Amino acid sequence: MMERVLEKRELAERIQWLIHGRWCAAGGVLVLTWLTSGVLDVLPRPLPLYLIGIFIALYNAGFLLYARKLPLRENATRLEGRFAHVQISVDLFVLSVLLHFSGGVESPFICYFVFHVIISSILLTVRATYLQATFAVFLFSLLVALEYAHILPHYPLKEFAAPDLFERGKYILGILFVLSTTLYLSTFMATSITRKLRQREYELVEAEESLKARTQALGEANERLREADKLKSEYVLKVTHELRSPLSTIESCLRVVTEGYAPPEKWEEMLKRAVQRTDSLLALINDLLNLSRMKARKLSMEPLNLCELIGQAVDFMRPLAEEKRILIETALPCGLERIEESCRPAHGESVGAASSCRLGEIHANRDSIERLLTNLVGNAIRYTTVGGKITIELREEEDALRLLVSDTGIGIREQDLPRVFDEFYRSENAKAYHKTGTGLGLSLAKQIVESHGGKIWVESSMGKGTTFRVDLPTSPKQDSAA
Amino acid sequence: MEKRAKVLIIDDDPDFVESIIAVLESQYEVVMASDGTEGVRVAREERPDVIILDVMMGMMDEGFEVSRKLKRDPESKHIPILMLTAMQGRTGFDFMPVAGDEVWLPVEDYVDKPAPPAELLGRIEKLLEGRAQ
Repeated sequence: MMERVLEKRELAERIQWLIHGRWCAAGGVLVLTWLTSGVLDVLPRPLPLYLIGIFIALYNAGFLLYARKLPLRENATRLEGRFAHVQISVDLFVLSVLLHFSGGVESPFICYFVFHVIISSILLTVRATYLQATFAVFLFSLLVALEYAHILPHYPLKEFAAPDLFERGKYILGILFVLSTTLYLSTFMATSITRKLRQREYELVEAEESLKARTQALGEANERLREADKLKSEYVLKVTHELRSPLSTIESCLRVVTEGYAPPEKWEEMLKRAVQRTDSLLALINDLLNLSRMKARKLSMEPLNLCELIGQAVDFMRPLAEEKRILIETALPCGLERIEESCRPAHGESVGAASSCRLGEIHANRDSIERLLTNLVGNAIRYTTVGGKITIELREEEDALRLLVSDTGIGIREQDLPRVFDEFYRSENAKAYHKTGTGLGLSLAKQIVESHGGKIWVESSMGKGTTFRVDLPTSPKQDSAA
Repeated sequence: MEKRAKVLIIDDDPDFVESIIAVLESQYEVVMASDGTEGVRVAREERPDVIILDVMMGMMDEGFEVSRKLKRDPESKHIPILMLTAMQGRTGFDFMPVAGDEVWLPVEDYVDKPAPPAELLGRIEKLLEGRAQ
């Protein structure tokens, strides 16, 4: 494909070059005619040669016009090849006519056939070049034969060569032999050199193209790396800020006491604040650690019963809920035994009868799922007002277990919803309701759900409550094992 | 008794604010605001003698915007601002802050957070003196 493109470009350029060369040829014919007839006085009849010079210029103008229109044609490449062929054939014919009027077999201009062969080898295919060489030999043979047989008149040069040269058979055969061997050998040499040069050029262009492609691919990879690096730096900056702020405050609270700036009755309060902030800083660091562990490490999966885990999480969180007189309701398909063909005995598990399986079975990482449940339930308790209600529901969907954690809490503004899973993000009303918070709990929940091949959504209505919906696939995720 | 100077603290961290109040309240009358918007409003209402402004609240550079707002407001533009920063190469901001740069950081002074109480008191005193002249 590329060779075609290159060939086309090259051919178009060389046709231009050929046309330029022909202007010189036309001029050369006129000047030489004037020199040989007027100055040297060896050419007795210059008129036909002047006419030939003018004719060359005229048909060259025709070629030029045609060449300008050519690229607009549909099958331009094929036409260009043929066009080059025609031009060289015409040139060879005109050269033969010129030879006829400048002495036929005695004209020294027969050497000029060699030019044409070389030009052909540059412009045309190897086969076409041999064809042109043959055409040249044919034309010249025809010319000398016709003159020899007196079918065409002979125009001898004055005082230049033996006047009967054109009638000497041996001489003519010798000239023909030398001319044809010269032409064929030149064709052979010129085409083999041209072929090699073309090959090199193709290789060079190809190498250039592949280099360009590779450079571009490298550039893109580099850009992606830079982007990833930038994100990482931004993350580090954010984490640094999140860690630094509480530390500054702790230091400030402590210095007030140690350097004696606050009255002694304030010391206890200052120290309490410092301790509280230390606790929340520790919580933040724990969350950060869990999050990066979750991102980096492959989780070990085991068969779990989500019903049991939810029960445990609720039991664990209930005291916290009772402090705020929040009711926790569960709607779990626990204990319901399902006897289906698809239910295979759980391998090596002590829970469950051998021939049945319970609803809520899942293949997951125990620690992560426990953390997910306590995070979601804890969050619900945190942002639900005193006397509210939390509902935890587990449903069996196709290929997935759907967990719904709903509360009657403060809700999340619609514009904050897309960002609640972002790391360190805390919505304005969450901050207003609870001053402290790491802003990492939901990021962690999302990370856990996604590392199990599941999905998490949030729906909320301001002042009415929030529902987190988690879908966890029941069959182990394909790539989690990889 | 000489009227005590009034200091406004604009910072979103209540514990930090409490610790600053503990330092300042024996010498100054202290008012506070927990975000930029409230800060601008309180500055107009209370007309403090010095404003202590935290550069990093909610958004990473909210303090810059607040300082520009305060300096644009004819009611508050004469009040010197002491900005609490976390610069000194620790935030990754690669610029050299020049206090008093109208466009960039239009504050009278800045100090790295957390500032030792003595440092903070010294800076406030200096700003109050500068104002008195």
